Amino acid sequence: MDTRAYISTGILESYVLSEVTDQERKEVECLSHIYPEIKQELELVQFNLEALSFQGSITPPSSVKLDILNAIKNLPQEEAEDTSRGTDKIENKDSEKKESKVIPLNADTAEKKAPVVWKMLVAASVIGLIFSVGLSYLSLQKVNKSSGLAADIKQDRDAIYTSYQNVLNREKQLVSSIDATEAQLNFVGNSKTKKIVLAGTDAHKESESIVYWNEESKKGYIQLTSLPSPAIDKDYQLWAIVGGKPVDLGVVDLNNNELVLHEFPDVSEAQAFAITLEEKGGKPTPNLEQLFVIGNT
Amino acid sequence: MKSSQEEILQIVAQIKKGDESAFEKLYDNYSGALLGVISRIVKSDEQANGVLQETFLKIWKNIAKYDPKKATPFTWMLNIARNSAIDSYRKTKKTQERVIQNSEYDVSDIKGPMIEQRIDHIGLAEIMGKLNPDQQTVVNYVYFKGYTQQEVSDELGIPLGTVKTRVRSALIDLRKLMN
Repeated sequence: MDTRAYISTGILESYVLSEVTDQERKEVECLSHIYPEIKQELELVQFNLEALSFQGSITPPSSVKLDILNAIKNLPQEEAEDTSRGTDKIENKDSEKKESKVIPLNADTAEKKAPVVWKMLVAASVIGLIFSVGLSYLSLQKVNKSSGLAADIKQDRDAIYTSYQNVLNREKQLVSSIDATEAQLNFVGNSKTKKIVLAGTDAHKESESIVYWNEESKKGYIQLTSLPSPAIDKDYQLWAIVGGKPVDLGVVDLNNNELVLHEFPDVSEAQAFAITLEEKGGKPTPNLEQLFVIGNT
Repeated sequence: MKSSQEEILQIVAQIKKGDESAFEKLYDNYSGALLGVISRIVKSDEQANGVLQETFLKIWKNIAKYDPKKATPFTWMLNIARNSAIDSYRKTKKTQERVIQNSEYDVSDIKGPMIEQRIDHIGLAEIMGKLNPDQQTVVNYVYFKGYTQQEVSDELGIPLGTVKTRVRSALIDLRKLMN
């Protein structure tokens, strides 16, 4: 990693001024752990800013000191928390959530509620992993007696940096996966969410699906609890029965666990939901001979 | 008069245990520097003193959140002071009478009516006048108006990366000029 280039972007100054995203903050903290030149520069930036601030000192009136010392007598100190500095104006640009309207749930997560703290634990353990990897690499370096020591060290540090990037990416994936799960669980637990069981038809007695439909937000999820895998040239398609007529809600992509959507109309008047097996890509009207599951609202 | 970095860390450790006299030492060491930072943003004496008080109360209250591994004590306190000053400034922006500073950094503005008693400022103002115009502009916005770098970028239509590198070079040059 080119540490001089990294430093010259001014990111360390931004860190000191508390004007970094969560991601950038973690990056600076981690890199200053791995690369001593970054740690040194970070310290220098802070000392420079401090010296400048002292240059422009203004002596406050003594009454201010008295007031403060009196006030703290009645001011309890708060206990430590496990996250970042409490008084920052850090802008968090990390959380962008995609809104899908009808998404299948994973069957085994329906019963549990995932606390938000899981996200932080994942992040914390990932960062902890980096530190321990970085530190153990650095301590190994002390054993190296060859004359190419500097080059070796740089190589190892670069390797650590690459691992660090990989772990960060993994963390991102995990976090967004936890976010998605959490969103689904909150949806299911919502008091306005109705659960509609789609039972198998006579021809497909073993099949079953569940639709979760929230009347207020007009959003839904579908859980494919039991449907046989379709042939390569076929797709399952979800319908709402409104006013006796079927309304297309989209094709279910079993590989991605996501519903490929057409326009999702307001189905608050749905009398029933049903799934049929259709040609790949779905059809505008259902093939009722391939009706697998159906349930009334 | 000013304690060493080690001493400061010890003082902070004591404050975390609720030691009021250690807190007083912290105040003695840093109140001047922090008031300077606050005054550049908030402009009125009375308001600045109020923000200084608020700052130290926040420091006392939240000391457990300070992590010495992440930043120096001053950096932590500086951010509390700066953020409090910016909040205070924005609240009173509409009603407060102030000199409108345009993007040209003008030393004479700083020597205006509100700063007569504050001889301490002038050394700093003269140093700032020696920066190049680009640096003066960003310093003016970030240091005197309490803008974030993103806000400077938006306001002046300069890429954020450029703002950051200018802030960095300004801080480096200011430090050189001081020695």
